[in-house]
Amino acid sequence: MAEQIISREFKNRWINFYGKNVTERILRELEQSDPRIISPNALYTTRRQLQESLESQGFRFAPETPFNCLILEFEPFNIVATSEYLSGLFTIQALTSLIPPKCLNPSSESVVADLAASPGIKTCLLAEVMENTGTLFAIEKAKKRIPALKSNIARMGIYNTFILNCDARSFPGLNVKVDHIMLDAPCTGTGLKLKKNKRLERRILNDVTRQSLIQREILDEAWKQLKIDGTIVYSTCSLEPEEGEVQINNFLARHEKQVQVLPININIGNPGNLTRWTKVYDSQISNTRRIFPDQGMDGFFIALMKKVRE
Amino acid sequence: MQITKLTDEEIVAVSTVINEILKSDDLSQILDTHSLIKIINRRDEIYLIKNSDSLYLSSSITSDRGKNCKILTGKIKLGFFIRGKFKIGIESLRFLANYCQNPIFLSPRQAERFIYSKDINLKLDDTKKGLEKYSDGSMVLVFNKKGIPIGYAKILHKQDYIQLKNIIDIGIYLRSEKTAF
Ligand SMILES: C[S@@+](CC[C@H](N)C(=O)[O-])C[C@H]1O[C@@H](n2cnc3c(N)ncnc32)[C@H](O)[C@@H]1O
Repeated sequence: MAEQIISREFKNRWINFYGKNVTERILRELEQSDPRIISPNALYTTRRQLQESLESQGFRFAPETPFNCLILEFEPFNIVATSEYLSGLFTIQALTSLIPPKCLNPSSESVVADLAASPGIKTCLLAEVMENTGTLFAIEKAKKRIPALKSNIARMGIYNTFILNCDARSFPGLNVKVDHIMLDAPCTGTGLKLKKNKRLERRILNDVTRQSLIQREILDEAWKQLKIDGTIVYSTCSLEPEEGEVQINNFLARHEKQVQVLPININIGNPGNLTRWTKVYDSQISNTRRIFPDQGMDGFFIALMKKVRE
Repeated sequence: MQITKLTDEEIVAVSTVINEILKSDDLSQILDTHSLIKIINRRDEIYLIKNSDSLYLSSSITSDRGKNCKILTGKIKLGFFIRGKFKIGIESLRFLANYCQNPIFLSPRQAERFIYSKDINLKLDDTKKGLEKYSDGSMVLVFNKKGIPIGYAKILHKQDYIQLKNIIDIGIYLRSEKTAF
């Protein structure tokens, strides 16, 4: 059963990289469906207020509140039809989506870029972290994905954002130096739960090669626009090392001495690890984070890097 | 050019609508720190940006490579022009709600109907809301009981009731994400 969800080629790669036990767990978890995770919009409400107001309409939540989110246990009707949703009091997303925006530490004057924005869930979370101040550039290449981005930004009452429809690799053309960058990069998505990922069994190795090349190009262009002491948070919902640990390891080699990989202070996932991939690698990789699919979480990779010199 | 300033007539058209909604001339205060810009997309869209943001617009326009990286929206969308008339956009709701002097609150049942793009008829004895004082056709910002802004309406004085004619409401996020934005 589990073998059909992804090709043997990928499964073998996971076994080589993560080991047999972890791979078995990944395959089991990918098949599970997730509860809906509700993240209150701190610009306009508090968790308590939101919870009370939804509970009075019959919604029920789990007692635990990871990352200050509510875990939906029962909905009397679809929660996106509530006036709370329509007036932007919350987003619905995987818990892992909350991590990249929360890694950045913008001030009210910061200039920030989200280089792969649609549908804009993380854009909205980032604007929240920015307290709706400063300037956020939300960049998305696919024109047909722009309406969802506009709609989410409007619904969530976000007023610090310029939307740009372009390839992130031409971002330097805007001539703007930024304090922070979020790159939630286009990827093969092999860490996404099956429900959101109908094409998982059709993934081929070529996809990994193609996506990791785009990620590399976007990373290098983004790096040019980052100010000294600025930070970039890179993430993918892929389980392939070429889109995670290996991508960052190569990036560190290309930008030797310019990069400090900062630790990510969360207690989920494991430190990035390349011992099963290569003998020689940058020890800073252990500051990146590898997260396996789990309750409410997609398989995910995340790295936070600071530009220490040009 | 994709991004331009507004003509004097356009500025008047925009301020008339906004000031009517706010029941004040707060827009002129907002314009001390913000500027109005027009971005020509499918329609002529009107945005507010901070004065300090104009630097991004010029670099997007003047730089050669900037041609490949154009700004599509400003920070605060107020609305758009259609056949020479300024129409308020739902995107402005939370922003203008901050400045609104005379909010209209609807009961839970009225608010629910309003979000389904229905007009709301208020009996005259129900007009402790103070709607009589507004002229026929004037625009108001509508809130639910919890103080959350839910849309814009026009006031129409009928013989024995006052109608809040739905102009636009937050139900649009459910009805038409793909077409409206
Ligand atoms: C992983 S998704 C982003 C999800 C988003 N951050 C969120 O949380 O809602 C990656 C996005 O990047 C876009 N994309 C792909 N290639 C791109 C490029 N070269 N430049 C900019 N965006 C690109 C895709 O269309 C897709 O919308």
